[in-house]
Amino acid sequence: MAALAPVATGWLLAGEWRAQPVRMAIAVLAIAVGVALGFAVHLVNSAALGSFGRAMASVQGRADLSVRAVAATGMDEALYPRLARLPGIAAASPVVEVPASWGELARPGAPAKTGGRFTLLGTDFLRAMQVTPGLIGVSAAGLSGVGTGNGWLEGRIWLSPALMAACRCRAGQNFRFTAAGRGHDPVVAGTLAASGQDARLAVIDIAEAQDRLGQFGRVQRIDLKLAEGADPAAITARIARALPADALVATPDGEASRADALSRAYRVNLGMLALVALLTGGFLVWSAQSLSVARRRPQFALLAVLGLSRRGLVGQLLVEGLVLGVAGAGLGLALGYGLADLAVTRLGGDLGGGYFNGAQARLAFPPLAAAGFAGLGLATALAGSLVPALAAARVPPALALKGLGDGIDPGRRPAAWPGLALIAAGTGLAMAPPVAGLPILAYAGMALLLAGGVALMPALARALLAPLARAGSRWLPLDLAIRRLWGAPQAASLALSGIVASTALMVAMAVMVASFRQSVDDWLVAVLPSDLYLHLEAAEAGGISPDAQARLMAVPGIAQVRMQRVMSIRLAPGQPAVALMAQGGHAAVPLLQRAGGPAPAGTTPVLISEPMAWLYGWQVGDRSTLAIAGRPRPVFVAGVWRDYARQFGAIILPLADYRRLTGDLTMTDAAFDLAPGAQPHAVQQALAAALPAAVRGQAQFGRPGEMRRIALQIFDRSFAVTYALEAIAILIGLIGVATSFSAQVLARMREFGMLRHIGVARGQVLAMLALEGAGLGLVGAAAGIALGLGLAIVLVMVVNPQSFHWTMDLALPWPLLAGLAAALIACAAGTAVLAGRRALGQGPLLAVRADW
Amino acid sequence: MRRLVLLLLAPLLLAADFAPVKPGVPFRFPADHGAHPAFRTEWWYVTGWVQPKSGASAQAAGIQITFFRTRLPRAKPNRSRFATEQVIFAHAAIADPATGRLRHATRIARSGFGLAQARVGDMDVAVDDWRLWRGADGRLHGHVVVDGQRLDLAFTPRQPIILQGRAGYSQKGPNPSEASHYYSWPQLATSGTLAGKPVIGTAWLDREWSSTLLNPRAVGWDWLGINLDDGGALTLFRVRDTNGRALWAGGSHRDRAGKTQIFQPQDVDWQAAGWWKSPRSGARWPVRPIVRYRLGSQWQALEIKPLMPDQELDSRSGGGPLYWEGAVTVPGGRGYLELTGYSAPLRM
Repeated sequence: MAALAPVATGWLLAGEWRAQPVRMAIAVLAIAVGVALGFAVHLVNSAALGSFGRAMASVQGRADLSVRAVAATGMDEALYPRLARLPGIAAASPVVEVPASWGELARPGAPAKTGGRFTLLGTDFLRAMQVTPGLIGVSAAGLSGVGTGNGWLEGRIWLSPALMAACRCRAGQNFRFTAAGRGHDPVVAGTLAASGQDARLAVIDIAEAQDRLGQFGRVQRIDLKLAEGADPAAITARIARALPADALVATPDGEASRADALSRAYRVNLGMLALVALLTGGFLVWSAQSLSVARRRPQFALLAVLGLSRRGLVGQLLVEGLVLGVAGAGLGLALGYGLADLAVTRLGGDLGGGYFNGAQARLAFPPLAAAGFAGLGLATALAGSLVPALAAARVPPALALKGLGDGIDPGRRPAAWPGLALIAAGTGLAMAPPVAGLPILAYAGMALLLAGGVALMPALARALLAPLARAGSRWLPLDLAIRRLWGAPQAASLALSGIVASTALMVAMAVMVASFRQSVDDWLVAVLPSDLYLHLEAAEAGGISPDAQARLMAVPGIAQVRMQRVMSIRLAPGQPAVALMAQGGHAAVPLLQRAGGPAPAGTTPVLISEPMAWLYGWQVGDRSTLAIAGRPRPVFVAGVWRDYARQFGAIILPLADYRRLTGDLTMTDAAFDLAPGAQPHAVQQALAAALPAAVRGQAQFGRPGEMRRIALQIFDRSFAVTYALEAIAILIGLIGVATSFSAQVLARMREFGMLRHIGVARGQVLAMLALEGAGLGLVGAAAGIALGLGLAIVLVMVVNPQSFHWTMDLALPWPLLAGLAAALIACAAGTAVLAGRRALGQGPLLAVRADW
Repeated sequence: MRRLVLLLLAPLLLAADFAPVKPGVPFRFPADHGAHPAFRTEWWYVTGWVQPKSGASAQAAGIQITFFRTRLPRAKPNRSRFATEQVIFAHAAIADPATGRLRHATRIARSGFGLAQARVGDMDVAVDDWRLWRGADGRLHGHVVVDGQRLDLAFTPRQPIILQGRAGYSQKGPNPSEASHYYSWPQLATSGTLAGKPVIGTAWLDREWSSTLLNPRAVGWDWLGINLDDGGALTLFRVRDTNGRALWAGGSHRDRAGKTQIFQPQDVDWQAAGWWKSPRSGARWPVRPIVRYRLGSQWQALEIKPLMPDQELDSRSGGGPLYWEGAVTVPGGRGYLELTGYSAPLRM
């Protein structure tokens, strides 16, 4: 028999594939989709992160170490000679780094306009040459930026290739741009050849940057070159001791982790969704293999009688699973790569998440990751095959040979405890704290909940049907259907496992997205109380001057103006920046918590956003310090507000305090309340005309309704991938239910023959099947939705706060849930009837004798 | 190396408003030891021979420390503290026969922030951790770091200054505007440490400041400064055209008694000879030139012998030229020889 085994294996495999091509294809597809999604998400993310990292490295100029100002307003330039003289520092290069823009900027979500954003650097080229040679330009004639053209680069600018292409500039032409609220019009001297294709970057002389852009005495960054053989850790510590409160040491590693942190939660969550899709695939494999095993039991029994050992049988089924897995994984990798390519070209490297502005992602094929995802697909397929294989091996051949012993004994109660245990464990894990800032355990909990829910299906189906079965029905088809479902819950759960899993996942995602969207919508209404808003893009380094502000306020039709100065500050190295918002007037934010009393004397009251509170552990009523204008200032946390716009935290402080502490009187944002009867459009035009010419291209006006619409559009776009995943999951689930159900119906041909034989009409059998299908669909939908709601609660209450550090209110999309349930029931019933028609096509006599 | 920065930045300077070099301007010390920021460029150029304090003269090595100040004018007023007009560039090289080639290093920075400056009023020029200054005791001090080796030297004047050319107005080309203010301070008694080890020796200081470019036909120049063993000092230079002929030449001789003769172009005859080919750059250098000068009515011939043939310096990666600058001996004297413009014409 040993010699026969491979032959038998091949024969069985080929026979099964010939007999059930659709079901096998569905199983392969299910695995493929899981692998594809996981691989695609990984590819896109690593491409985006790689390109973002390269862009960041270009802007950094690849210095050994940098000291950075915590805020865009920079730090005192006097730090430069102090750092330059520290032992272990070979050279120090001071840099003015300000966000800048050219042309007219498009508002978020709107089609691209003629302009764009870039990073403007002011360097001392003699120092940059030693520390960051990548930031030295090359003229059109190929000469180094040092010693060519104008000695101090007065009126000269060097552009990175990416910026050169984006602004369609050429050497020798003037390049008009705006930075720190001022316009400048230097001549393009050449390119920053070493800065690569990823960063939009321009370099001018540092003295020119300070003078033309009003950055006197300030630098944003000091790049350092370490002496040969110096110990970076020791030097970093020494530098850190020498730094004022508004500066911090940024190591290349720290910068990389900052880039990583920027989108990590988003990436991990997408990856988890892909793995969940793979899990659904696993259930489908299980379902397909179980059915196939049940159907082939006599074949296996025959082989066993002929001498195939139980172990041989298990091996046989595992080989089948392996073939499914290999096919699925291979298809999945190809599909994933195609999907990633499409996503990168259509949605951009951040899949619409908005994390990496302007960075152009390039796709690579990482063999290690490919092997990893293929392995996951294989493992899933094998695991899905192992359970039915072991079950099949347990059945005595003699029973199976007679077509009996299909494992369904109505007298035996399906055990509920494994499912309940899994659900209990899952619930426990779901409430666990985050690991490394990520909801890993919560996701593991969700997987256990899912598995538990599926495992509980037979017991649940019986429990739900028990009252009906006891009561019976006078209508024969209903009575038969109920008794069948009640008596063979394992069979029902086989058909249902895939659909329950995918329904649960879909419901979970839908509820989470609906909750999030509703909360964001409510929040938008709360944060946009005024009639007209003005925002300056790329104006962190300085916006509208006080006299221009006065001109804006003098525009007729305005009842009240709330001005704001927004900038980002870095509170910790390796962490993304926090938004510092100095707001005039009464802060218009939805407060979640509020301090009992007023701020203690000598402190500045601040309102912190929810992510801020989470990330930095600040609580209402706390006193803390904030480095403003070079010194740590005592602040008092007067409240926590809900914020969905700034994932890495935001701090609101009174504009008057900010101006007193910093002397910075500019503003970057303003909210206008209009006088009664004033026309918003006319006022907007008057305001635009009153703006200084330099910032007109950066200015974006918005009205609340329109801003809300755009925000929700962006929201929907960023969840586009989620919606796609949902649709794919539900589609696979539905196909799965259709194939497994029709297989089961065909397998019961002999039963239908018997029913017809004892006088049940054909229509009655069909009605019975429709009712059975509808019942299964109902049970599946009910279980799937219940399980999905449980998973949604984990997503909303645990995964989101742990990933993005904001909370939301649960909102249930009832129409969607009802529609889903109806679709499931209709699909199950329809499939059952269609398959039944085929099964009943033969005469009853033939059916009874059916010997498949 | 001396005029490198001038060359490096030359194209930038064309329209600037610099102080002109004029004959008949009296020298004032110590002010003329200090910087002359109104001029386009100037340099403090120290060359010398040192040997271990307790060792034999066979272990002698050449040292060269040069500080440049170059003024890059600004077209527009600028209130930034970075908006200085002066760049300080420094270069140092150690010619140690045991190494077989030069060890050298550079520093460059725009003046300001206490990190780089050239003082007006007396000699004190610094860039980062390098400095050359005149102490209260009248001695000159130099501190540089080359390849991690600290060089700390004190130079004690033993003789008065030589004013080159016409009372310090030194013509460098056929056009009278092609000139510099130029003085030399030879026979400086040198002591200090090289990489922690005590050394002694004799050095030479050259000081020049100018606002004028070289003659457009010039492709390079040769320069020689020799401390004669008997206490005398010899300076020779020539500016070459494309055919290797002298566009201009000059120099001086001061004997041990202090009697000085200034050479006119017709008093100097300089023939390239003793070609050495660099294995690194492939350039050929006349490292043993045949040099004659007319002292009184007598032509004197000098047999120049380099400390080692390979004293080539390549500053092309930083935008500078490829040149040869090294320690040399003549019968009865030791000094430094500079050769430029042999691999490619120095573009102005």
